[in-house]
Amino acid sequence: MKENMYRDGILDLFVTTNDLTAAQKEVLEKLIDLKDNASIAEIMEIISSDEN
Amino acid sequence: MKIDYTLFLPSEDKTYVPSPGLIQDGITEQNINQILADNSQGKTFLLNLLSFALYVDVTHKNKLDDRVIARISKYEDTAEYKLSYDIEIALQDGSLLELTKDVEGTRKAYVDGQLYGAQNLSSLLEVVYDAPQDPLKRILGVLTDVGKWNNNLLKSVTASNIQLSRANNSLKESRDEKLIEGYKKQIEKTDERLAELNKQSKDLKKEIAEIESIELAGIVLRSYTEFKTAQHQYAKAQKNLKNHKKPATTAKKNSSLIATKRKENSEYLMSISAEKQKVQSALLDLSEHTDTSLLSKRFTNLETNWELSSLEDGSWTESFSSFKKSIKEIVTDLLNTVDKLLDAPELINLKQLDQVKVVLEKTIENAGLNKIFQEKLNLNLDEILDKISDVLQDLTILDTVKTVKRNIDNVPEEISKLGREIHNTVRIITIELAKGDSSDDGSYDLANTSFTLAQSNLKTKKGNLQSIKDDLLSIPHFSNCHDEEHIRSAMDSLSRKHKNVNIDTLRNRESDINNRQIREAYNNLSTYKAKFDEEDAKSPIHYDSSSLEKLAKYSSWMKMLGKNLNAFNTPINQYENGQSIQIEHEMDRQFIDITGKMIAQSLNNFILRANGERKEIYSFDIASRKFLCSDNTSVLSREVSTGLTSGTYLAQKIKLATKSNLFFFFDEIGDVSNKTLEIVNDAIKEKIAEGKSVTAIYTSVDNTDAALKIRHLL
Repeated sequence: MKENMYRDGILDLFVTTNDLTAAQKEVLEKLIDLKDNASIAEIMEIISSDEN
Repeated sequence: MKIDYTLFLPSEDKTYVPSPGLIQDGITEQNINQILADNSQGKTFLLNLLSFALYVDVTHKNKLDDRVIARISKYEDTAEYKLSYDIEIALQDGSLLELTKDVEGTRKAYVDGQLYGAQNLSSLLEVVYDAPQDPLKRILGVLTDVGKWNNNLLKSVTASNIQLSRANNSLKESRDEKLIEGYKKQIEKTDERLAELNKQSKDLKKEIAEIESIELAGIVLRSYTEFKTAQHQYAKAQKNLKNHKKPATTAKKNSSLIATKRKENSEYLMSISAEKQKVQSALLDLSEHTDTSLLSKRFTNLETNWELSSLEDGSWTESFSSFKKSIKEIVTDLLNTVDKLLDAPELINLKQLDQVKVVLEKTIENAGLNKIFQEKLNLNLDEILDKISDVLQDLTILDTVKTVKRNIDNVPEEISKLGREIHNTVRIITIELAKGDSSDDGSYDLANTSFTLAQSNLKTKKGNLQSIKDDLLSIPHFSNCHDEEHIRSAMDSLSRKHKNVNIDTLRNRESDINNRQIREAYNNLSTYKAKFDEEDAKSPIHYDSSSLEKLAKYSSWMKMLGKNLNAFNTPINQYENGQSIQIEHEMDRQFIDITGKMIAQSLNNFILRANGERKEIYSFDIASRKFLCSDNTSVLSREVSTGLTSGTYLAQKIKLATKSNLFFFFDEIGDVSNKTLEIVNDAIKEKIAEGKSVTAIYTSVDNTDAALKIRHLL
């Protein structure tokens, strides 16, 4: 639980510092949680939700 | 409360049971039970046992520290902990809670004999299990956790980064359609350039060939002139020859040849004398070893003093025939005599000895064999060979007869051969002497020679003309020009066409196109085709440039995030090692803020100063080691009351407990001051006053008395 709080705090900090949108933060989080040996198609699918 | 248990630890091969009269029935409900003993007397085990039996690790998982949960749940491992117990607790409403477990069985809870699951049980009771801690130690604990979480996040980010980079690189290996299109255009352009260059080259070659054909036509016209001159000379020579009568044919004597052949005959006669001399020498040599008087007498009678003239007048022939026959007979007899001498027993022995000598000479040359003779047979072959040579030298007859035989063996044959030669030369001389002397003045020969030369010249000129004319006719412009007039006309028209053209300039241009420009174009074409093939062989790409840019963007962010997380380890390590923290980037400052807020939260956002003053805090600055207070003041970490803060924290937890049956288990609480303990006790008393059933158990280390004791504080 506390580990999740830390992770959220760090990601918020990164998002704020680099002016990422909420959607971009969501993509970033999904990419951090990528399963091992994800296919290029899976990666591109995640990234496609960033419409900016 | 009644407590009975048996704990067997296979790893220690030891069994633990409660102290009779103390733990078994010394713990009472509605009281604060302080258990005192030295370390390793089972104080903490009692708290863990009751918590395990009350399912605390299941029902209070999110309320208690992980370290407390871990020390309770370990009894689930029945391989390591052979635990059985039977505990009875009086509840607030007068019912009886019975907690049991067999060694191999699972834990069970009964309320007045009715089986209760963990969740049902949690509706009846609440457990607060903690151990007071120094806030500064808690900061270190939080920082340790933050370090762990930071590394976990860094690990995930690094793994993601690798995958994004791989995807990025993989897509770079995909086909670039724009590049392919570009190569196609370059190939087409180069093909067009090559076609243009080839056309230029062809045109130039045609022009050069036409100019060269003008030169060729000139040569053909000159050949026509030369041919006509030759024709004229031929006719003139033919006419001249007809004016000369051909002289009668008579052979002319060759005096020089006659002289040469007579000289040869003289030499042949000398050679015959030399052969005769060999026979004479043989007779002389053999006379030392046998009687040759008869043979010598026959030899002396031989006639050999022939004059050269006798050869040509024919008188020599009969005399030579007689000589040849006699010398053959003498030689045959001599050879028979030699054979008889060689077949004599003493000479046979000497010949065999001579063969032995040859064998010994070869044996000496073979070092290995020579060694065997010397070492195994004790024979010195060199000495033996010397002695054999001495014996053979003393008997010179062998050499003599051998030499005689060798010298005369071919004499009859040689003499016959020389006789045949003399016959041949005499025949030539006779023929030549039969020829007469010439009386012609040579004018016919001269006319004939001139005619032959003119005829030959005409033939040559005609051949030359035909050959180069064929070359000229193979050129399209001259293909119908079969005579001088047409050739001249065609040549003039071409000369006018190329009047101001320099053929060397054309040749240089043609050479540049073929040797440089076309070669360069072919090289370019080859390069573009290779690049096209390489790109065309790649997998097709399914993503547009916008998607690829996004991928590159996230890959870049992920790298940056990984870099930041890596950098965050530095201040954590510096704090843990007591070093001053250097803030190099704004991100570091913000990371410290996040960590500080988590530390403040773990302390319930308040501290007590050494003078007992309570301060609300929202963060802890690990760089300056100050608690940041809500009233915008700050408190140095060394100014914080350690014990009181913990006591207040525990009291707060007690106050928040609301169930009817409350259990407060505080491990190692004896380390705190009496004032702190008083805060905790007062909170418990408040709960009892509220009508709750409260069972509090403190543990304290007593270094002065190892024995386990129970003290009731109410």
